[in-house]
Amino acid sequence: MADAALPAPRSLLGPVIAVELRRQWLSPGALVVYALAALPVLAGIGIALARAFARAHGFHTFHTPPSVYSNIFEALILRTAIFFGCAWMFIRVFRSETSARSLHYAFLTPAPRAVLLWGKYFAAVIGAAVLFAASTLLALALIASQPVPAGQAAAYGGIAVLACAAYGAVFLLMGLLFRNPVIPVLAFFGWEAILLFLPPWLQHLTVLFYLHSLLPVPLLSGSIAIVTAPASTAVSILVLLAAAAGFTAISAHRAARMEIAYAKEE
Amino acid sequence: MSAAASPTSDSLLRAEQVSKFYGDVLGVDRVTVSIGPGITSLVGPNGAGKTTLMNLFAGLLWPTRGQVTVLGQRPGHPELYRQLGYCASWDSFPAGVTAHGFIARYLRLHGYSPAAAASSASQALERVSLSAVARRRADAFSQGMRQRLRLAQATAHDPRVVILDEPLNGLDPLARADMAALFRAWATGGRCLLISSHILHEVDAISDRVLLLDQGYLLGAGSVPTVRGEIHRHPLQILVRCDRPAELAAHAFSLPHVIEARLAGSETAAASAEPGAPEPGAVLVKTRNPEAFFLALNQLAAESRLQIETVAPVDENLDAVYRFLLTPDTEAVHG
Repeated sequence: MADAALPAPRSLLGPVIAVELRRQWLSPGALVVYALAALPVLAGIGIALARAFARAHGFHTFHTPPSVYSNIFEALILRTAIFFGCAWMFIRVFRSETSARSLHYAFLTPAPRAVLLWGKYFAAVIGAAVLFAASTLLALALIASQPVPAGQAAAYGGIAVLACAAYGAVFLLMGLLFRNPVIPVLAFFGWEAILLFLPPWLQHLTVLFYLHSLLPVPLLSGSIAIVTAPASTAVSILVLLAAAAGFTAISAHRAARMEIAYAKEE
Repeated sequence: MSAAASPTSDSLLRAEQVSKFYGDVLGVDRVTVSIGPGITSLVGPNGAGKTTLMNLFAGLLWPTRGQVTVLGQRPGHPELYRQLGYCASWDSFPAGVTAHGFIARYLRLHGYSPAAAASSASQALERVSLSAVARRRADAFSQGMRQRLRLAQATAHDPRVVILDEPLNGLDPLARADMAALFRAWATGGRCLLISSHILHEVDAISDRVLLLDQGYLLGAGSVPTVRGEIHRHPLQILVRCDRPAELAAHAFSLPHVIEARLAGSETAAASAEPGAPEPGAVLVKTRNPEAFFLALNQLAAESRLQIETVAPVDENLDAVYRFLLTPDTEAVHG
């Protein structure tokens, strides 16, 4: 019979995170995210090798000014690796269990659905944040031709973590809302991609705007970009965290009313 | 009959005027039922609404109308799941887990410490005789082992109410007997087992009470002897997959209670099957005494080392039995 010494359901967040960390990040499905996180590092290795080759053969050694790294970080890490890595991982948080028809096992435990969802979300964020922050810092160390100030490195790492939290919450909700989330993901990608061409008030409705605002070195924008004054650091962090919490809360509400119907019922 | 269908003070599972629709499709409609301790079987043909009703009790579906309570609480209430175990009909596991890891993983979500979860998982596997394969991957198990593993998982936290959807599917006769004994043991001490089946012979062997569903409606409830009397009027057809089907068919045909034995997919009577003919791998046996046939099958397997893969009732006369039971003026419905 039930053990009275067992913890209250709401305190099951820790066990949920522990179980989900293993399930999400030690599965073959996570290989895609590992590969995406490796992309910036591989690019950094390529640049570092090219620089070393040039130096060894007496060629003119090229330097990568801070603004170049900022642009590489934005294009390769934020828009590509983190965006698609989070899309893959967070959409699969529930989808992988519904496709394997194993979600009901978790729903039949005393862990409330909201706790399950937040636990799954935190596990995905922790894994993605560690992976992409490490990837960011490694790539930065490899690409920068001069030592990067610790504050700048921390800022890039922090942006990567916030990006995982914010994008992750959006993709988690997409995974719960849409049977086929590919089109919504691509639409969201397009929306984020045209950021610099959106009117200023619409730029505030993108995740990337707030991530840009946190960059320690401003981006090199094209001549046709609509330049908008960045939000302050505090506002950017608050908006990103609030968005992450808001989208995840909506997901939790949806999960609480979710029915398990993998196939037509008897 | 009416005792099981009307609310009682010792009800552990209760549904009041519960309806569930999938869009325009009816799952169950206006079901009122109250289930107390002991083993209650939910019987009805495929599509009767058995799984829907069980999923409603388990909180995996929400009723369109009406109210469901388990141990006095609405399904979905977290504390309820400490006392409710549900073995659903989905034959699936999380990818890549071992049998032990599968059970331990969900015990962690019950709040067990890692050590307690590991210990309880081992005990649960022992109860269903899977200790020897505890470290093997669950998705590589045979159908019978998978079924036992899911039973172990559903009961590993020692619940007071256990809901089992078609729990004997895929089990061989020995395992069926073991499971039936296990159900009986669980049902002692005030536990409640709700078991669904579309095989009336299973119901006969394990149940205290029967709830009869058809096309989403609860048509009646009653004691097993009433149903049993009808079962024996109708032969049961059993599909046996094995390595030497022709030999099994010939042997089965010689048994007095076997009416027919033929190779599956073949119109040729098994008794006339020629040696050396291609064997489809399965035999269909029609018998009036399934227990005697299962006993004979076990003896044959032991004596001639017949490798039996699966044994599954395929009751082609089931519809006829249900039709009989569902006839409004029969004792089974109103007795």
